[in-house]
Amino acid sequence: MDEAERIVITGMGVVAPIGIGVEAFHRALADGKSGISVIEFPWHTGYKVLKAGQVKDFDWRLFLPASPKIGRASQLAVAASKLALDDAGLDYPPRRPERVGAIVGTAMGDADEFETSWQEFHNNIGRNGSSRQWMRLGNLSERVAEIFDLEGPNHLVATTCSAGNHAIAWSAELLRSRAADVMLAVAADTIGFVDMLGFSRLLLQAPERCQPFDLHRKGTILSEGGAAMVLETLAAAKRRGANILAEVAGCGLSCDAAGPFASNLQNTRGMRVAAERAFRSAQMSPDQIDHVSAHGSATRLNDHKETLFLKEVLGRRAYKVLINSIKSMLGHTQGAASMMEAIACVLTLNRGLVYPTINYETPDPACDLDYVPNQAREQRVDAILSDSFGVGGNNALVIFRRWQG
Amino acid sequence: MDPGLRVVVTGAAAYTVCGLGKEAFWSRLRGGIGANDDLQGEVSPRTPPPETLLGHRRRIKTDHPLAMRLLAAIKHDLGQFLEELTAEEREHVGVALGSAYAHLGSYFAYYQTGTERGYQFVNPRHFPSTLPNFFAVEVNDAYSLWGSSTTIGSGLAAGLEAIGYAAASIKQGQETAMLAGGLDEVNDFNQHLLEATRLRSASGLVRPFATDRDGTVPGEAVAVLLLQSEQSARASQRKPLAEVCGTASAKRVFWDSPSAQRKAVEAIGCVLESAGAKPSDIDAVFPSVSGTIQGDEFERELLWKVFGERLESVLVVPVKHIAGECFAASGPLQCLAAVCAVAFSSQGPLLGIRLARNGAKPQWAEQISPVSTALVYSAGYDGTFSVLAVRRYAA
Repeated sequence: MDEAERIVITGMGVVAPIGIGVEAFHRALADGKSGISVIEFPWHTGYKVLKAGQVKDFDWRLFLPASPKIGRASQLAVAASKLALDDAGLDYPPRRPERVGAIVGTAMGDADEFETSWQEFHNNIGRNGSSRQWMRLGNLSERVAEIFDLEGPNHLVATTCSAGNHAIAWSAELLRSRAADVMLAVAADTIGFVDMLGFSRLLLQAPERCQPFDLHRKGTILSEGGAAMVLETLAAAKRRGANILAEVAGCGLSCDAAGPFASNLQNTRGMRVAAERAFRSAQMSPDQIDHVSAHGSATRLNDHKETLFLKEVLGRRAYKVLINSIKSMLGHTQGAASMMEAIACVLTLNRGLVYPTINYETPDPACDLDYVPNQAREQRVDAILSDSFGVGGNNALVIFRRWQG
Repeated sequence: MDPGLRVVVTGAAAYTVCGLGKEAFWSRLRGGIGANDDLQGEVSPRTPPPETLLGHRRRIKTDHPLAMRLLAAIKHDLGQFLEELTAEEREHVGVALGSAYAHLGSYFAYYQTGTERGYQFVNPRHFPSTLPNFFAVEVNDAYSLWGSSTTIGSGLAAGLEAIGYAAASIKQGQETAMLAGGLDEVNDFNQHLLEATRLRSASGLVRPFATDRDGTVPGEAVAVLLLQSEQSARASQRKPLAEVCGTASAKRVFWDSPSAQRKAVEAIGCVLESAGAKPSDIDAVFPSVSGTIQGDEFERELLWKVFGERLESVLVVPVKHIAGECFAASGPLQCLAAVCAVAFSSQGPLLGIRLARNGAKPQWAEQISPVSTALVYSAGYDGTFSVLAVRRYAA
């Protein structure tokens, strides 16, 4: 693959329940810090106590001087984007705005804004059409473009929990097709009443902790956050002397085509299709993978099925690679989850530290791989498979490779 | 990406106010039925109930009305192709759908029940339909399509963006075939939005480019194209109806923004360049035009900028006077019309508008000469803009 085809990461930004900024994020992950706490909803839910991962003490106005009123997910997306652009040493407005684009992934978009707008609509308040961007998922991607003056390709992809990896894959293809010189791949979600209620009513929300791969796991814990990566072709990054953090070696997308929750444990075909595509595009074999950043949502079905899938794809090597789920610390940041995990992958490649799966207490015989329980582990890692599996069956896998200079 | 790889349209599906199937829509559009004098008011009640047409299919589990219309349209127009795919072929067929408002009806029904009656009254099974990806994955699920499943939610141009995304996925060799298009429904929120922004027609008539136009009428629709690589079409012995020869999009193309014309012209220029075409190669334009005062004026100016004096000889074929403003489904519906115009020009003349210079009354006219290359664009009131070109397929 020539340098115009190879995609590299040159900047990262993260706003997470465990920390804001890449350094704080790394320290929290390394220390096994949990970002889960009791959530206060402005609405009546009927539930006495609900826990979630909220980004506390987040004042997004600190990120930009003139802050328009925008939804929470947009705030998280914009803040993460600013951190990533700064990290990459890119100016905004860019010198050639038409060559810089953004793909934003999300599950629910600005859920808080939708729900507030709906309340106002329902109560006959604010029916003056003052906002032309009212109730649209696309607000997220448009706001990122508007605030940073990016006029290149701009799209919003809504593929639930796999949206972050999907944004990376789409951005990479736009760079390879020369539609842009720089792409900002962003993902963000906040916690809305509907997703909290939906996960709770489906008994997918754990009451206390997120315990991926543990025998007594009770479900996931919903969270919010924003994360962003600056992607460029290797040729473009070298031309401007950018600091290259890692390489996006390959991506694979697919669908389970098996109903909203892909509840047939044995049916991993869709996941395998995505893996085959990722390895083929990376021109790598499963033997070259040192570490898997798992979806690891801590639902009974996902963790078992993901373990089966990893054994099918990696064969006996599945028992040797280190597998972790940082959702144990962050909770499930939904559309942003795989972008958060992507940032963790790049940090692992550069710092030789595999982050732990915390809250792991009792091994599950059905999940019998090395999940890096409770303590981070020092190990040189050259290639990482990051997988994400969304509600509805959206699968998006990305392989990250150490940048060797 | 293989620049030599050609992406062709080999099928199309629609569910509109005209009924089930692309034929129902195309025959009405070609015949000009509804043009200027037979505009529907509320279009959704006129759409036939899909459950009566869907029939029994073991794998269809949804009871969501719009999802049923989507599945009914695909079954009607593309079902045979999809049913005959082998298991291996299904791994290389993906779905890309765009929508602006499709999931919001379910979202707010769920929200209202939860907040007003209590969490215990929401039906857990309805949660997936509150998610934007619900419709695309329903299609993957119904036909066991293990290729990618993509939901684009950028806004009113999302349907046309989905077609562009699908064409790129095929060109990049990720899929051999894609079902791509858009869908949207009429709900309280988008109806209110049109009223609040004074875009809704008081007369209930959509009069594209007319001097007495007074706004648009909301509609609901499903429009999906089957895109294949040329090689895949040949292998499946499906005759290409047209070739997709360029796509582009732009954002913040608000009608009243000073940079809007420039951005739209650049996007169209980008498509023409990809297609290796000049404005003089375009025989027909399938515009976004929806009968609004500002939007139609914006588009008239845009078309003059792109075509200059030659515009008077380009047939401009609106679709919203027949289908209504179908939000993100409108672009794919326009694209479907363009594909039919290119593929079926021998069926007879096509009715469209000849735009005269600066405000002169536009004239409806029949074009008898065949359409070889057509331009399609979405220019939404939300500032989204997407454009593509289709041309007659030549082996």
